[in-house]
Amino acid sequence: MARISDTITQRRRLGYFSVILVVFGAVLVARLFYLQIVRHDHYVAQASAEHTRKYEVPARRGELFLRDGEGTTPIALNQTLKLIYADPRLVDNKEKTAEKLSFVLAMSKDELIKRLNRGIEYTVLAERVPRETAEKVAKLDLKGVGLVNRDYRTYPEGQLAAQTVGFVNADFVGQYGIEGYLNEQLAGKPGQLAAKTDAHGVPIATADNISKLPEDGKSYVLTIDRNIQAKVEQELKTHIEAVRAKSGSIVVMDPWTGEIKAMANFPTFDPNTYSQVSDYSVFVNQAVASQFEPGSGVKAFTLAAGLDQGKVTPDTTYDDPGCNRVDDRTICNAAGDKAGRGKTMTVVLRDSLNTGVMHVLRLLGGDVNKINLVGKKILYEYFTHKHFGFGERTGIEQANEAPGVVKEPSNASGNNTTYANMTFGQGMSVTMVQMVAAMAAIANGGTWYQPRVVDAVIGSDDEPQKLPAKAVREGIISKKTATDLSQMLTVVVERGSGFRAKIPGYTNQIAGKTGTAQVPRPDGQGYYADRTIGTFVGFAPVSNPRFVLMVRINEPKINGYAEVTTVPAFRTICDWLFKYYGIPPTS
Amino acid sequence: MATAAFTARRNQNLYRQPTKLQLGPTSATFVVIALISVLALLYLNQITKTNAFSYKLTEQSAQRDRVLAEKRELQVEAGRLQSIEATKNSNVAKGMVPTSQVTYAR
Repeated sequence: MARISDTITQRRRLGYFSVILVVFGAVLVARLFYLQIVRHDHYVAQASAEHTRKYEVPARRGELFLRDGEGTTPIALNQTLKLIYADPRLVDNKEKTAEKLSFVLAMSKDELIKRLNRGIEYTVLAERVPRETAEKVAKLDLKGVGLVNRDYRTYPEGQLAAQTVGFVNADFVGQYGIEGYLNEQLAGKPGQLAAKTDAHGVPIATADNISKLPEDGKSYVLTIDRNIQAKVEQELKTHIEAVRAKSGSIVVMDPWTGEIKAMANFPTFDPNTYSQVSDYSVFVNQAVASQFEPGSGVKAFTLAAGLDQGKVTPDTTYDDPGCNRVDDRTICNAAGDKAGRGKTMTVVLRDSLNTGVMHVLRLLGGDVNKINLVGKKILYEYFTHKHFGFGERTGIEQANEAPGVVKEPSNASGNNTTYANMTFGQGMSVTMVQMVAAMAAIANGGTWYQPRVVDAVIGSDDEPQKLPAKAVREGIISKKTATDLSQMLTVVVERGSGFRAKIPGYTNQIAGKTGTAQVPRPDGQGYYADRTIGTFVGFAPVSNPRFVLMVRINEPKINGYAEVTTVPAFRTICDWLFKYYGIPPTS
Repeated sequence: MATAAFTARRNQNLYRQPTKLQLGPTSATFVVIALISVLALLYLNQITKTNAFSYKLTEQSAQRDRVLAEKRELQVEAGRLQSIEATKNSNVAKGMVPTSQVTYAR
């Protein structure tokens, strides 16, 4: 009886055990189902995240080159150098660490100690460290000191064409000049890499890796000629120091293509050390970004309108009263110019007579006695988008280009007095690059070319693809007008205010016009009595123009008009350009 | 039935000897496991080889980057040495004399 009872108990226990096993098995299966099926995606993603990493593959920034004769020379390159940093918390002995580093980095020990004490968790000890030096630092095996690769922009020519080129800031973003204007094209597009990594986190090349290749930035060849640029910069500096001026700029352009051959500003800076500059105004390309009242240089364009409209010829005469009454104002010639009868338009330009160009404005309106809306409208059209292009950006590949200001004749601000002033370059503002492009149209017979600094784009095959010249407006003045005006402008150099630009052997081959403008007060209350801007814009040789050259000198400290403060610099550069281009004398 | 077809059928050896080799369930399991193991070994071998190549590729890629960086450094150095400022300060330039007069051949 007892055995039967034991057997029943054993069977019951086995039964319970079986049930427990089945339940346990069911729980396991359920759990596995949950993990493997329900949560499958989650765990796959988690596993992938642990042995796969995503990287942004930086695109290589495009490089910049200058013209150098028939070839090119680099002006902006990329360089991968090392940055040495430290975590001051981990540095055991700052004194000793600084001492060891000072030998290798050729830096003072005190400076390194200062830097080690500066940061809490991270401090930069040295930047732009070359590979060999970095290897020596790595060998020191200093605790708390690390090295990291960093891309730097390098400008091997230093200060040369600094404002035209611009620079790349610490975030590798282009600033100013062409670096700023073409930043997007130069920067390219970064790629992406999702790669399996080894135990150290180093990506392994496997078929599973997903990569999107970076699109490297485009490289460009600029129109700037390195030799002309260097000469122009040297002469600008010498001349500014000679006349003790505040600043100045020079532009040289090819009148047949719009190519800028040189664009210089002084004071200047070295883009390699831009962070050391305290006066940010030196970063700005004044030839493009600074709009100013041009003064008498504009008389050439007023006369262009008169000649082109058939209202005057070079020999048309007028009686110069010395002063003209315009509405409630009296506007006179510059000091020293006396009234006289029967002055020709050539003399108006030669002696820079304000009354003469006001006479042209009246003739444009068809009424010799007063300025009217018709005349103002015609002058406005010649000055702006239909002809010489003042008052709007030229489209040159430079950051921060200013449009200039030309007041519309229909506005209250474009009244008769304003327009009378505009005929001799006051009451309006222009940029140097606008003046040069407009003068180029006179030099080449009437085509307005867009000024440009990009000569060619370098493609993936490393071959430069030359960009065509942009003839934006053709026939803005007739060929006859251009020829007559060119001859009138040579008289300015031969016997007028530009006589200091004369070069023996090149008689009647240099055309140009001086301009001395007053500097307006920022509060709008007239002009400073002791501040002027001297300009001289011209071209040569007149028989077959090779270059347009403009010099601008701001606030010289010597007495005199542009003929004293500016023209000598024009002459020196013009003489050098004749030799550089191999232009023989004609007389 | 055609005579030719009948003759062909008559000549066929329709008798088959029974197979003596018999595989029990345990042996079959072992064979399957062995086959799977061999395949797994082959697979692992290939994967290891692929990974070894991957490392080699990574190494060579890094080496290429190093060489390119060196090339860029040399380009920069060449640019600096050929710069206007460096040329102006060179001994060759210092030994030059300014042009006094230019004569053009006509």
